[in-house]
Amino acid sequence: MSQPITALPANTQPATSPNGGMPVLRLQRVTRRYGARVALLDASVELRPGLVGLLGPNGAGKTTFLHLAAGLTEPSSGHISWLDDRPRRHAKLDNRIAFVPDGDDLPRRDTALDFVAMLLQSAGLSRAQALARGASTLERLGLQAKLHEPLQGLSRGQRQRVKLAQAFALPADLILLDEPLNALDPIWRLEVAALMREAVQSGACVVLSSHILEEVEALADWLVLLFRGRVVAAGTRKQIQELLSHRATAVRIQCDDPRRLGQALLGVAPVTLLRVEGQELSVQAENLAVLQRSLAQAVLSSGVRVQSVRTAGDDLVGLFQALSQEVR
Amino acid sequence: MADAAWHFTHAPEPRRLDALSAVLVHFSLQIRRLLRFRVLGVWLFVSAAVVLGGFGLTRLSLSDPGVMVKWFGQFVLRAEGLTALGLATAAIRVDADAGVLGLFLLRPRAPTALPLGRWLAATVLTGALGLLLWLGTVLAVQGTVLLMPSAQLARMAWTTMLAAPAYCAIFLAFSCWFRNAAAVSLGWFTLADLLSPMGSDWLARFSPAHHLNLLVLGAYPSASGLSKMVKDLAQMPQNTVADPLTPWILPIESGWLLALTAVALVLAVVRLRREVPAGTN
Repeated sequence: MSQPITALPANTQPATSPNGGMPVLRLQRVTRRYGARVALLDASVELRPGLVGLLGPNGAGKTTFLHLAAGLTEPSSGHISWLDDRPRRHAKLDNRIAFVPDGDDLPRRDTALDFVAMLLQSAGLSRAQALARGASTLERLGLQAKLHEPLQGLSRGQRQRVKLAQAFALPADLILLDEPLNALDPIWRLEVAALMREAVQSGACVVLSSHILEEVEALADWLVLLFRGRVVAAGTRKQIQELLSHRATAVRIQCDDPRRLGQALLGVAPVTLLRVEGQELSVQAENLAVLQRSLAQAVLSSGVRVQSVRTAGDDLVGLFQALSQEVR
Repeated sequence: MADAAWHFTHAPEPRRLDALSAVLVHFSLQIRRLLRFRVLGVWLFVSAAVVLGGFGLTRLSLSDPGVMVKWFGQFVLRAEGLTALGLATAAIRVDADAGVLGLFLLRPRAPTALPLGRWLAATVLTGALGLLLWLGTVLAVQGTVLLMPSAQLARMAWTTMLAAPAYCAIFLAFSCWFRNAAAVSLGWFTLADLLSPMGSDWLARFSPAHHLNLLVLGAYPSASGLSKMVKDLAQMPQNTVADPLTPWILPIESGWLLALTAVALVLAVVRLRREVPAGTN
């Protein structure tokens, strides 16, 4: 197995999200095991205010990461600290961490308002304050007609919004969202995205876990990629792509004469594979940056008309596939 | 659509909860949850059935006052134990199985206050039902030859009040440690109940049933066991049954029950401080 691609050298230094402000969460060489199964291995990440995308396929360790980040489970080894290096359950952390768990179950007999108000009361609000704030937050999420309905009668999307309401009802510094956009229709996805941005503007660090890469790509300032329990990359999308640019990569070019362009490219670039399919030329090279420079040269010298150039790994899907292959 | 006036930061500032207020908050929230007919109804039904059974028993042509003591131990305390099983197990599993227990545990002091508050709520309701059962028993024996001495009745009331915290704590601890807590609790409840009759006195010390039975009987079994003592009780003159209280049985057995309660609560808190129990769903 090759070394994982990371924005940090071999997990010795935590990858730090770029925004200003004090660190909200710091994981140092954190490992979490469940019996013989390793759910998270040697993860070092430092998060500051901003919107962080936590990406990975099913079973990558996202939920374990979020549970550790919420302080709901203890690491088997390593160290976690919150809000400027405070340990778990420090009084200053009271109500500063919010969490939306995965899954669509909720206590069936509670009403939407009861459920949110209960959590707010246990945070320290009076019953009246909890009911008022719970109701207004549920209304913000479009559930004004469902306040007094038992949760078992709500649709999956509505239950998901109830879970989001309890997380956003009180200002927090660290908001951990496990697959928060699941079961939401496009309108509510946009609303929830707006809510996340509002929280970030207020200085919060919102960690959004998802396996829907496009959504995270559109929302997150910073990405943490998990695969088989390892943090395989962390950084901005651009930083991660730069890491990949030194890896074998492929470019697909739509043009009017792919054969001529291929011949021109052979003369100027260290190409490892060329393939022509209809009007498309696929090129594989050892180094993406060199290939891109050579491609411009070849287009000019050959005089072909180029319609489009697509780089594998240019979007998060490609990026993730490449990273996954690295770890395999 | 969305409430335009709402803002993420425009929320009331939560007051700082000290340990006692945190426990009381979790207690009041859980009491509100449990005081629903759908939750409590089944246990009210069980209690009513047991009381009716008691009334039926007193209307039979029985002259043995020991019968009611036996009946109390075998039906009333078991009904109370089952109520504790239902309420204390639900106190943790409803949220754990829905995957939201972690949300409550994130709240200030929750890993300690939540189990204590919820245990207290389950205990109060179980104890209240236990006292109702005791009251039913007292009413049932009034005016019959089965009437017991007041000291015996007082000890029975004390037993129902001690049964609630002990059973609730043990079942709550089970529900923190085991996914299928209801099945585990029911298995343990049955097994623990059988330990003493099977002669496993040492193991039976870890079962509330053993201590509760001793408290109700008021005396340690003689060499020939519990049956002999019940027979002794039966041989006493009608309506003047002497209270067979062995010295120190009350503090020793009560102490055992309180110790079992404390150990179970510590185990529950330890578990919740370490990790959120997984759900079955």
